Amino acid sequence: MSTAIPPARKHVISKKLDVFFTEVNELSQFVIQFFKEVFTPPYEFQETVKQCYLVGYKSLALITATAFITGIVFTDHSRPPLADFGAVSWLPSFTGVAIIKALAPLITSLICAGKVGSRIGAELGSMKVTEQIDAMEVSAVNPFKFLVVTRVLATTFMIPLLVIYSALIGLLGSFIDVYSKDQTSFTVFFYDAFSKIGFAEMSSTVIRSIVFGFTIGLVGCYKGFTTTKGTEGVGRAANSSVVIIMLLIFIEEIVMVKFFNPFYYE
Amino acid sequence: MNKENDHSGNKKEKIVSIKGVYKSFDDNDVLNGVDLDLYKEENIVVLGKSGSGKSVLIKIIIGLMKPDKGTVEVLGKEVHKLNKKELIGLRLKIGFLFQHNALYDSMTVRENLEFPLKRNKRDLTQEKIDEAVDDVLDAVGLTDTADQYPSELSGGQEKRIAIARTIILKPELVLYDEPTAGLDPITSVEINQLIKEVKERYKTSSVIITHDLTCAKTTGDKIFMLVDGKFIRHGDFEEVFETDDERIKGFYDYNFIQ
Repeated sequence: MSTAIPPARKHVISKKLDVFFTEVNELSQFVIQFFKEVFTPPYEFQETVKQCYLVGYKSLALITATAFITGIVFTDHSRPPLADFGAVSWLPSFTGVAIIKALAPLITSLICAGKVGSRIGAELGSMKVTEQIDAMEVSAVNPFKFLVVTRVLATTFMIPLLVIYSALIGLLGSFIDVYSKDQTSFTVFFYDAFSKIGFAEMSSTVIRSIVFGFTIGLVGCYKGFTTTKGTEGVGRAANSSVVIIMLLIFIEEIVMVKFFNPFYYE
Repeated sequence: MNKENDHSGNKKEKIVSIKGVYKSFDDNDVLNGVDLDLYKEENIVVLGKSGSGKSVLIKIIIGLMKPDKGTVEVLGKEVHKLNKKELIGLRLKIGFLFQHNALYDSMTVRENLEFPLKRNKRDLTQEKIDEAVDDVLDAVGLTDTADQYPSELSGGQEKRIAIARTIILKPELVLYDEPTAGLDPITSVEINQLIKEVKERYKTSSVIITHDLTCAKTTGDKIFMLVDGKFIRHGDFEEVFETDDERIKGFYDYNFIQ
């Protein structure tokens, strides 16, 4: 039996590859333009602060609820297996490591991918299709600097702060779960939780969060900025922003964990 | 800038000079060798059916699109040979009114008007900025809408604010893309009148893209009729429409019936 790919299928594959590599190329150009514009005056401080407020403050309620519940649920699920080995006393340090090193950066970034990435994609997409971006350009304003640089800087600054905040809230949830069963004191719990967290672990969490934040802002802006085909395109921009950001976050997480792990266990 | 005889034979500065411009998208030829001269304090109307390439033409004038062939000179500078910085400098002297207004919907009217000023004239004090905003709001007759958002305005008000934003940098050249599209007849008349007032108050030269004959007759000193990507006739309103050319007569009749 022949295993050759039919010509029609070949055509579809080559078209999809073409679209994929064109998009990779455009995204790379977008990154290069960001680094060119970010260091060139004039700087849009006011807009950057406004975007920091929208990314950070406006995500607090969702991050608080999610992190708190994750802390409780994770601790609750971790108790029985540890109890089997008589290691319940390890629970605070175990949850500390899990929350600070893995759960907080990943969960916070994924939530922000949905909340912030889609907002940026839809906002810029609708500005694009209603010619507001062109309007900036013809009024001699650089839309890339005003819209893209400010938003990418905001996500790059704010996501690490949200991750640290979410780790603390997650640990608080974990403490409440531990306290409800073991009557551990707040000080002892947090002392144990941070006993396995050193400079390398904290650095890794912060650096990964910076990368995730940059990815969220950049992909959201790219998808919004390149929106076509009217309102349908705006929906597609918001949707594909979230999908691509999430996929990239997972890929970046795997690469960075492999990179940082040798530093923890030296 | 060169002074040449304008369409009426008077010596005037040439503001826009378009020579042999071609533009196509894939297999669709939109502009097929367009020539146009606009002189100081003159309003030119480019008249044509939807999809005839009118909007493409003004996007080429302001450098949002590149022609495939031909030259476009605006205020003495060849637009498509300018670098980014020079293009920004040129755009400061050009106002552009978008067909759907393109007001920034996350900003109030005042912020919309302040936006180009604050970013292009960074040495202006807030007092001077307020003065400029109040001046253009007065020019368009909407001084009481400064704190409203675009979504709170009517279609006619939105168009007026868009015109106010277009003229806030005191441009020498204003490009209007379908200024009366989507407006009721009474509001259209008001907008046409406003375009004439802008010319008189700010001494601007304009290219007005439209398919609306009333707009063309009211606002244009000269009419250029665009058919199949070419100007087939130009002159004042009466000159253009006193013809047996079926394409022009058909366009006139269609507008009349509308």
